[in-house]
Order: sequence, then structure tokens, then C-alpha cells
Amino acid sequence: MLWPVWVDIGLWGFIATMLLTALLHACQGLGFSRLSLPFLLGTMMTGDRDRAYVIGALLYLAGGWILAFGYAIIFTALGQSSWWLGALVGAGHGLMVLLILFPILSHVHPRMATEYDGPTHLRMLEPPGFLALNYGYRTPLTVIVAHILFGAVLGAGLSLP
Amino acid sequence: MTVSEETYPPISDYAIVGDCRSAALISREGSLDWLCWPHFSSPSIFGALLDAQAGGRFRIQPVEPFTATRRYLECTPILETTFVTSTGKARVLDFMPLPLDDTRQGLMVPQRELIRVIEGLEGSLECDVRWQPRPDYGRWLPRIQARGRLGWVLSFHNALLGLQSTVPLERAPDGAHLHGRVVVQAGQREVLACHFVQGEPAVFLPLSLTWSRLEATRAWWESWSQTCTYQGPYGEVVLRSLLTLKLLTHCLSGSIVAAATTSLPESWRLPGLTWDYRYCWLRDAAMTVRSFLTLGYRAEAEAFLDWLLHATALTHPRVQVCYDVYGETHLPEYELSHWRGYRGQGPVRIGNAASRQHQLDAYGEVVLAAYECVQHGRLLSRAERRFLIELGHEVCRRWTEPDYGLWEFRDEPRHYTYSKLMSWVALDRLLAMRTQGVLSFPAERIAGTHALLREVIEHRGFNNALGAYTGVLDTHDLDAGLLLMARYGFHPATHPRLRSTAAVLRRELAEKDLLTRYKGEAFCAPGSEGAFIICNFWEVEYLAQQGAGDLARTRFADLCALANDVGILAEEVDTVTGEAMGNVPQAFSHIGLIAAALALAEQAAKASSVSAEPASSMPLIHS
Repeated sequence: MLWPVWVDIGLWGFIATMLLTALLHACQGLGFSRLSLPFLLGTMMTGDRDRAYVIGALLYLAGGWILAFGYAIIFTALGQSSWWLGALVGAGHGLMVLLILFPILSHVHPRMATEYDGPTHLRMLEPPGFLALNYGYRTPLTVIVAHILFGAVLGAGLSLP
Repeated sequence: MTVSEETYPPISDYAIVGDCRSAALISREGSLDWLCWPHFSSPSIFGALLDAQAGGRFRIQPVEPFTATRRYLECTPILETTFVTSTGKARVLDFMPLPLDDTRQGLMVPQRELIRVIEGLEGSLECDVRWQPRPDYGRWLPRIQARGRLGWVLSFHNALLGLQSTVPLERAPDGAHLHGRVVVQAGQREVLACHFVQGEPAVFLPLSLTWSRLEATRAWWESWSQTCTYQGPYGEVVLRSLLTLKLLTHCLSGSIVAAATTSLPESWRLPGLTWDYRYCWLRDAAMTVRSFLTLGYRAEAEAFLDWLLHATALTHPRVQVCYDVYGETHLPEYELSHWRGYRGQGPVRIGNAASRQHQLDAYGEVVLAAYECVQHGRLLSRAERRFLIELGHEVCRRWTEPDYGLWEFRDEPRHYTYSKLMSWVALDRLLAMRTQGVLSFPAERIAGTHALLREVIEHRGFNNALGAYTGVLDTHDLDAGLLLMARYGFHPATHPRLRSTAAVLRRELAEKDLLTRYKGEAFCAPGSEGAFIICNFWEVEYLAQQGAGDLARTRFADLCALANDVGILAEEVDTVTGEAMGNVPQAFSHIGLIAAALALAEQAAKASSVSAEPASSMPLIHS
């Protein structure tokens, strides 16, 4: 029966994404980092700041669910699932975001400026730079910790009998 | 380096630019010496106003000796400073862009932004540019970084301050400031855009959009100014005061700050009179609201009432003297020991301990503001009606307590007559709204206290030997605040007691023809402060109400001359040197100017209606 597995992944994916979002948002609010993934995602769709936050949050939730399936596939391939294994995968995921996703973001994001070309009337958002350090020197740490939490929750949740 | 007058321009040298969320002060010499971001009471980014060496500044200035003239572009707070040297002429335009939401044009805009445009007018002129930010009141050691074609940035806490510039700039070896020089020819334009973001990725706008954004800002302010219904005398001066008050509003919350600065000294002779005015005093804000309402700006007044209900929720039904722009009640006062203060006159204070004082007049001001809103068509919500009635009961409970009064003395509470007067005003207007059917409450308690307050003011607040209402009950002290008794309807302006009080105040409080605010044992030593500008406008208002139009007009003209070249008024003026003193621009002073102008216009209208002449030479105020 596949259905209960989908429910499990959906449920824990939702919880993990919420926690990831909450932690990153808290880091933003507490002044650790100016990174806002929902804002960056939302501004891919619209130039309206308020709408960008809403659309970005929805996209982020959807992305979290999709990633939860990716994590489930990894756990299945490894033949086990636990909080620490999830945390390890999450750490790897966080590093990928920092080392691969952010560096290419300014090239694919329709509203992101680059340091080489300067701002235009369409591309005006601050690029994240190496390890997203442009958004604050504690940004890499917050990203890694948030993704470790994401993975740990998924790993723990999907290991439940 | 010694603290000299050369390093600190006179307070009257400063002009204000703003976007109704924050404000910058720029000197006649082109130096931006005060800017707090993201809002008025945030830590400063540039603070040379309070410490010329450590405060930080953003200066654009000709290299050669120059003369400077200034003006605001008509009906706007866009500042134009024109420099003339032996080789040429250029102007610098300073503004904070509006409207805030440009998404209709597909633009995201920076959270906060200030743009400086250098434009060559004649010949050629070499300008020196220095960008020396010192965030967090100069406590943050800046390390400016280059971001390629995105310009220069400085990160601190969770904020980013940036500078985009068409002028080539070089970073100092220690990374603490940028410096550059540019020769501008006639017709050439150079742009420097300083922007700020807190808590989210920054937005960089292309500098090619600057001119269209300047025009949009100009159009926004011109449209706002056109709402003004005032058509009486001194129209330009009134509009400039109105624009200045608008710059002191915080559009994100609806609050109104008392001034844009902290710790500019109120006295050269009495050290320590340096206070932080970057908060919303209910008294000042309520008076500002009445100015807005009278001149046709209902939205600003309603925004303030909404903010008021939100801000006072924490202290309900008591009201605090002042709050921060978002309604924060905790405004602890401390001193910045690393800053010397304007011309060495410290201490530099942040926060304001007066916020914890009990000041009865705040209740009267708030009720009066609500009353005026109602008279201008505002429908009160259920929560607002309940709030106002509870304020009335709070006044009934507390009017017998001594308080710290209008002038916020810090020694001991007293029975200030002005506080009793405003308590009476609160109850008077509540009863009026009850009569109008706006409020519904049992009248006995409030009406009884209302009558009792009048009796107390008449018997204990009037000194027969002196022939005047006194600042403190049962004393000989004098307080210019009591010039407002006619405005508040305690007596008609022609009442003998008010006439004699005004005469005594003029005789006892005037120094070099200008009124100081108080005199007596309870107050500071005479001569320790300058003339308080609003008190002088109150006198003009009273004279106009009394029918002494010619004298009122003469005094009004003299007072308008106290404003600087761009119409900005500080809190006080030194009666010896004529120099502006205290925080600037001061909402209180501009409120006074508007109220006096309105009274003059009203008096002129009455005079012309009494005379048989077919048309008045003085236009009427449009309601």
C-alpha cells in the first residue's frame, strides 16, 4: 500500500518545511542574516514585494514537499532512516544550497542583479554572493543549521514504525 | 582638535529632507550631518551634528571657496543648494524618493533611500565628495566593501548601507570612508544614491532612473500640497510649515514625532538641557493633528487616531506622555559618552525619561484631537468611543494629583494650572460630544469634575495681586502656556482676566521682545533659556483672537523672520544672539506658526465682515 507512505512523507515534509521556514525567519528577525528564501523565490514571479512574500512562501512549501520525497528516496536507497541520518543528509543539502544553488541564482533569477552588470530596471535584487555571505556573515551557518533540522525531522518522522 | 564653531554650523543652517519614515538634516555647506535609518529614533547612520569628528557625514562641497544659496523646489521638500565659485555654478538636489510603492512601474524600491544629484549650471565647478557613515551612533567600526557595479556597501548588524555613485570614489586605506572629486560642467549631472535595508536582501536601482524618480517625487509632493485649503496671509510660510510637519509624520504607523533630532542644546548658559525628541508626544502629535485637520488633511489625522488607539492599548486607560513611532512604551534614557554633543554641549541623550512622567495635559490633548476629528466628520468606532470615555474617567480619578506639567520638569510634581486647564478641556469636549450624541455616558461624574476644575482654576490659578493666571496653583509663577486659555474656550479672548494675564506675561517673560516660556520658583532661573518659539506664536494667536490684528500681524512677521532661509524653525531662539537653539525642525514651533496664521486669517475675515466693504483684502480660510 503506497498511500500511507505518501501521507507520511507529505505530513513530515510539511512539518519539516515549516520548521525550516520558521528557523530561517527567526534568524532573519533576530538579525543573524538578511536571507529570505520565500522572498527570493517570490520575486522570481512578481516585482510586488508583498505578493512576493506570499507567493514565495507557497512555492517554498511546495518545494519542501518535493524535497521530502527526495529525502524519502535517499532513505529508501540507504535502507534506513533516523534523525541523525536525516541530519547528515540535511547538512549535505545545506552545503549544496550554499555552494551550488546560490552561486547560480543570480544568473537564473529574473530580478537579481550581478556585480558584473550592475542593476537594471528589471534586475535589481542583491545577489547572495559566495556562500550567501552578502546577506550577512552568519548566513552560511543559519542555512546549514536549518537544513540539518529539516533533515533530522524528516529522518525521525519517516523512521517511525 | 578643539570643538569650534567652524566644525559645527549654526542650527539654523540645517534643512530637512525626508520620506515620512525618516529624515536627514543637510547643512548650507552641503554636508548631510544627521540621518537615522530605518526610522526617526533608530540609531544614526550619519551623526556629525552631535560629534563633528566621530559622528560621520555625507558631504558634497565645492573645492574652491564658494557661496551657497538654498531653497526647496516649490511645494516640495526637495532641497536645492546652489553653489557659486569663481569658475562656475552648480546645484545639488537632495531628496528621499516617493512614492514608496513603485511596483506599478515594475520597480522594487530600496527600503530607505536618499539621493543627491549634482548638476552643473554654468562654467565648471569641482566638487569634493566624502561618504563617511558611522552606523549605530558611531559605535560600529565601518568597513566599506566594493560590490563591483552595484557600488559600495557597509554591513552592520542585520542591515546593509550602500552607495551607488556616478562619481568615481576611492576607499580610505582603513575602509572607513569614501572620497572623490568630480568636475561638473554646465548641463552635466552626477548622482549619488545612498540606500539602506534591514532584514532582507537589498534592492539596487539603476542610477539612470534618478531623474524620473525625482520628477515622481516632485509630483507626489505637489499633489499632496494641493490638498491644502489655506488661502490666508503668509501662504508660503504656512505651506512650508505644513510640509515640515508632514515630514515628521511616520506613514507606516500614523504617529508624529516631536522633532527629527536629539540633544541639540536648549541653552548655552545652562548645561545639560539636551533631550531626545524623536518620539511621538501625544501633546505635540494631537496639536499637529489639529493643524492637519484645519488645513484639509483628514487622512493624516485619522491615521494618528488609529495609531493612538493601538499605542495606548498597553497602558490603557492611562496614557503615556510619549511613545516611539510603533507605540513602544519603554524608552529608557541613556547617554552616549563617546559623543561630545553639538559644539561640545553634551550630554547626548538617547531615549527620554519623561515618557514615565505623569502629565495630565496629555489627556486633554488626546480628547481634543478626537473632538476635532469628529467635528470634521470622523465617525468613531465603538473602541474609540469607549477609549475616550475611559480617558474622561481617568481624568476624574487623577486630576487632583500633582504632575510634571507641560514643560516636563524633572524635579518634583506640582499642581500646574495648565494641567488643570487641559483636564477641564478633556471633560469639556467629552460633554460636548455627549451633547452632540457622539458619546453616551452618565454625565454626573464628568460634569461635576468639569465644574470643580473651573472653580479650582479660577480661585487657585488666578493671582489677584499679580492680575494673572499663574503657572502653578497658589503661586506667583508665570507660564506662557496659559495664553491658550482662549483657544480652548475657557474664557473668551476679551475676558478681563485673559487680557491682564497676557499683559503680565508680556511684561514679565519678554526678553528682547520675545517671550520665554516661564518664570518663577518652580521653573528654571530667568535668562537660562532662550525664547520659546511656540509661546510667541501663542501670543500672536491670542492677540488675533482678542482683535488686536495689527499688533498680531507685526509680531507674526517678526517671528517668521526667525525661520531659516528655507523656512525651518527650531525649538528656541537665543534672545542675545538670535541664534536658533534646541532640536530641529521642531513640530511644536511649526504647529504654533500655523495656528497663529489661522487665527490671523480668521480675525481678518471677521474684521472684513464687520466693516461695510464689499470684498476683503484678506482671503478667507476654506473649510
